[in-house]
Formats: sequence, C-alpha cells, structure tokens
Amino acid sequence: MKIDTDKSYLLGLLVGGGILSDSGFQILLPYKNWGKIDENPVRAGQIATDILKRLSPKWKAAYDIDVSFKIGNDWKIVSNGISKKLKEDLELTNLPTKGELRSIASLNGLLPFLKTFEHKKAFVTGLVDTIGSLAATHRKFNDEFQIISFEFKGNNFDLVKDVLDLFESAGFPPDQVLWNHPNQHSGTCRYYKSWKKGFKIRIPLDDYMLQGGFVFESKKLSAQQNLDKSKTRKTALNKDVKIQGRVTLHKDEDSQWLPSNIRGGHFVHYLQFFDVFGLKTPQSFDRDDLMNNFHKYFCPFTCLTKGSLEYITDIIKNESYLNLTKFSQSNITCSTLLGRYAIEPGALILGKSPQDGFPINMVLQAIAYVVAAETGQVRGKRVQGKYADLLKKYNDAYINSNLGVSILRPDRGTCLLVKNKNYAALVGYVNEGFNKTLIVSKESLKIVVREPVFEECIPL
Amino acid sequence: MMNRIEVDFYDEIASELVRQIKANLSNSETYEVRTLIGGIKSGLLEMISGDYNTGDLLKDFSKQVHQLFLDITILIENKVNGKFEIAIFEIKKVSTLGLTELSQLIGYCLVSRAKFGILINVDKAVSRNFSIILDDDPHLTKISRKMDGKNLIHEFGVMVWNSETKSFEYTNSGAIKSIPHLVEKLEELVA
Repeated sequence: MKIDTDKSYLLGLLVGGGILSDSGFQILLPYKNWGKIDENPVRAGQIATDILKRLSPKWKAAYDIDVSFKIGNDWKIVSNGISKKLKEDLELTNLPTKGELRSIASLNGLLPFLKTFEHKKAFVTGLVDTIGSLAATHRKFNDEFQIISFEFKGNNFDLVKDVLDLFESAGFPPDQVLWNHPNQHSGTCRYYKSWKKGFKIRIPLDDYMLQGGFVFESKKLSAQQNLDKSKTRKTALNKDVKIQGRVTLHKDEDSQWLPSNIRGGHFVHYLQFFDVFGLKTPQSFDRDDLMNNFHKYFCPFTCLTKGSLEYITDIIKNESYLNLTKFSQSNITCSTLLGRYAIEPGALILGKSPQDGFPINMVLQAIAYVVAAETGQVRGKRVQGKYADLLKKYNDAYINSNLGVSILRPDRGTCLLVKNKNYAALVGYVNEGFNKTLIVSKESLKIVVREPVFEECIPL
Repeated sequence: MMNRIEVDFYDEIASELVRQIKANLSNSETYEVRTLIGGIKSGLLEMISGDYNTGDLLKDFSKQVHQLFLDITILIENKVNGKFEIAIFEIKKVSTLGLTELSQLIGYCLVSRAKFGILINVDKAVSRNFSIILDDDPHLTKISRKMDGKNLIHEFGVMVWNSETKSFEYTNSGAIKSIPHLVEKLEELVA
C-alpha cells in the first residue's frame, strides 16, 4: 500500500474541505462570490467541468469512487460512498474516517508518506483547489502583491502547523499567518470577545505559481488573471521581518479553548508561534531581539477599547486595577495633541516622563471615536474616514462644550479614560520598565506575562 | 497566443512524465528514467553511446528494435538487475480521439514490443462513442499474444494533457487508468 501522487492530491482535497460519514463524503468548496453562478457564470461553468472532467476520473482511478457536485450556498463535491481502498488509506495515514477533517485532522501520520516534492505539491494542490482563495481582495497593500489565502476555522492548531511545515518544505513560505488567537485577532483591545475568527495562511501568488500546481483549471485561470495585475515579482523568500507596535495582554490568553502548548503565553508576532511550534522561521527573524526586548512589544493594559459609556463603565467596574483607579480631568486639548502628533507620532503623553505615558495616536483615536459615535460617523466601532481628518473639523471649544468630551487622567499608570455623554474609550499606559516586572517566564518564545495588580501600578 | 501544434507539447509532457514516474516509484534511486522523442532505435543507440551506462538487456534491445518515429517513449531501467521496460505515449491534438489514433498506438507497441501505450489528447477528451467502445470491450486495451513461446501482454490507456494546468487528466477508459497505475505496472516488471 502506498500513497501515490494522485492520492496525495485527493487527500489534500479531503483535508481542505472533506466531511466524512459511513455513507460517503462531501467536500465543501468555500468559493463564495468567486464561484457564484449569478455573479461569475463563466467561472461556475468551469468549476462544474473541473469536477466532472478532472476530479471525477481521478477519484474513480485512485479509489473507485464516483463523485459529482451539488450547488447550494456554495459548491460541494459529493461521493456515492467510501471505498475500502480510501478507508484503508485514511487509516494508514491516521486521518479521521468520520467528521470534518479540517477541524479534527492532524497530518502527523500522512507527512511521512509525502516523500517527494511531487507528493507534497500534489497535497498542497488539493488544499489550493478547496480552500485556497483567489478572490481579488486577497492582495497585500495593492494589486502589485497578489496572494493566495488559505483559511481554517476552529482550533486545530496542529493541522495549521503541519500545513505550514509542508508549505515550507515544498518551497512556499508564507508571507503572513494569522493564528486563531486573541493576540492575533485582537491585538489592541483586551476585552474583545469575538476573536475566534480562524486562521489565515497567506502565500505570495508569485511564489506559488513558480512551482505549485492546479487541477482545477478555473483556479489556474483565476490565479493567472490576478498575477497579470502585477508588474513585478513578489516573494516571501528571504522576507524582511519587523516587529512593530504593542500587543495588549488579552483576557482570554488563558482560555481552555487554546492548546496547552500556547495557552497562557503572550504573542506579539505570528512568527513567535512558529518558534513555539518548532516551525522554521525566516533568517531575518531576530529571535534573540524578541526575547531580550519583549517588554517593548506589549501593553499589560488594553491599548484601546471603545464602546458605549455603559460598556466602558462596566469594564472599569470589573477590572480591579481600573476600579481602584481615580480619574481626574486633564486640561490637554485636541489641537495640542494634533500638533504634537504631527511632530512626534510615537510620543507618549501624560506620563511622568517622555519615556512613559499614553500613546498619542491611541489617545487621538479615542477622542475621534467618542466624537464620531456621538455625531453618527461610525460604522460599528470604526470611525468613518481618517480619524485625524475628523478631529480637524472641530475646534477645541466645540469638542469640549458641544460634544462634551473629557480626557480623564488616572492617578496610577493603568488607563486613560476619554468619554462624553454616551460613549467612552480606554487607552493603556505604557512603561517598559514596569512591563519588565510582569514577564514571569521565557520558556522558548512562549513568554508568559502576568496581569498587573493595582498596588504595583506606577503612581502618576 | 499562437496556436500550438502537437509537437510543441512533447517537451512539457515528457518532463512531467519523468517527474511523476520518479515520484511514484517505490525506490526511485534504483531506477533510471529517461525519455526519448522521435526515433526509438536511433535514440536508444545515441543514449547508449553517450553518457548512459546501460545494462546488456537494453543494449541487445536497442540493436533489435525497429526504427519507429514515436512521439514520446519512456524508458525505465533497473540499475541493479538491468531489467527495463518502455512505454509509448502517442500525443494528439484533435477534437476527439477515436479508433484511428488508438490503432496507430497499438501498431507501434506491437512492433516495438512495448508493453504499455498511452494515447494522449491535448486539452480535449475522448468522444462518448469511443468511450463506450473501449468500456464495452476491455480486450481492445489489453492485448495478449504469444512471442517466442512466451505470453506478451500489451496494455493501453487514454488520457488528456491539460496544457493550462500542465497536468494529466484521466478518462477512465482503457486498461491503464492513471499515471500511478502505469508506474505500478512498470515497477512490477522491472523490480
């Protein structure tokens, strides 16, 4: 029994979208608008041809299974059963024989069978044809940098780790990975609860097209169309890695939903997860710098949390260090802040020295939010347009008197409170010396940061 | 884009064949996999007189084989025991494949004694009628004959080369269903 290149491809399809039961399998193809009949009728025809003329004979030849398709909200490949041969291969490679593989599978048992580049390429092609999204929106900054994006839901970190390992060994290193972790999906707000938005692996399309494959002609044509929009070749090989900004200490870092090897850790960059999972990192990733300067890259308080006055009041009541904090009115004006921001966008303000305080850009965003929310210029919690432009529309007197905005400085280095009649925002205090005292362990790059208690917070 | 003709596809198909065959062999280190485009006899003789240090079995074969002009021939030789096999790939770029094309391939295989022949159409599949003919009579693509007192079995398959995705597609028609299936059969004979 061996896993040949055709089987590698078909197992890639199953891992990408397969849901298996005793009576057969479905492979979900989450193509959304990209494959919709009414929006892209030509492509929809190509997808149908791909399934009937390209996939169906492959399934028949490799596993003696007949497949066809169904169209509902999205495309589905459906089988007439599961053959003995397929069941044997799933068991041989330790892949589940029931359930949604993407949620529960690990590739530990399969990877040793993907022994050549062609096997790896075939498996990755199976992933591309299912969950490799080529929607025109997947690009970095602009059309010049085209991306193929792989999305995984749930908390199957093992699978994502294995897939990344496979991508690396097949020569497709990611440009960026979004892990399904609060530090990745909510790096600014400590209290945001809906952070379980899934994983995304983004591979430069140029890198993929050099060596990667397609069985679906519809995908290949779409990839080529996307690539035709760019003039220069973009690659993630030897990419430059920079760690910027600060990631808030999120309330759910200890969540039982997270796997034990990362649970409790604080992560400020996607490559920190690579290190913990034993994945290869780019040469330019300076592990020692991250380890030695970790205090520079996080904020133990929320960086910025916005919402109704009631919501923010509730947070203050339930966060003991905020509940014990006393706030007093600051006289600083919006125009002063804008002037300072223009000269020094990274400035810390209202602290004890120029080296500590509240990031000026966050304070301005907090003011902009309460002003925009009060005047109906928000979408969700996002200010419509550029926040600095919004603030420039109003003068200080109008902001303070008509819009009732108060900037309240805490008596300890916890959070600055910005509020008006109905809305409020919290901005976290930054003090790298204080941050150092909160780092309790550096076990590989799984760095544990404890939450501060009021008594130790710096008096301001 | 300029319209490509049949011969324009030989190189890309041959390269992918070698990649797929090597990947699907149990132990690719044991085997030499080579492609010949054009005359089989002259190609083998040139290969042998050049850099390729072949075994006696293949040397003998190269002297005996008739000169046939074939689209792509794949040679696989076991470097340890000298056993070898050849598979002939007849490439077409026609609207539908039919019996004429298959008959040509069968003829080549019978004359050269190649045990495997694959008919490949570029970007177009087989006609429904041709599929029915092949499915109804499996002996059409698995021909057994007596040669020098031994049974010689020739097996045939029909596939498609997708020039857009640069990959083989299958028709499920014939005795050879897929490239891994072909490799399995080749390896059985030369192991």
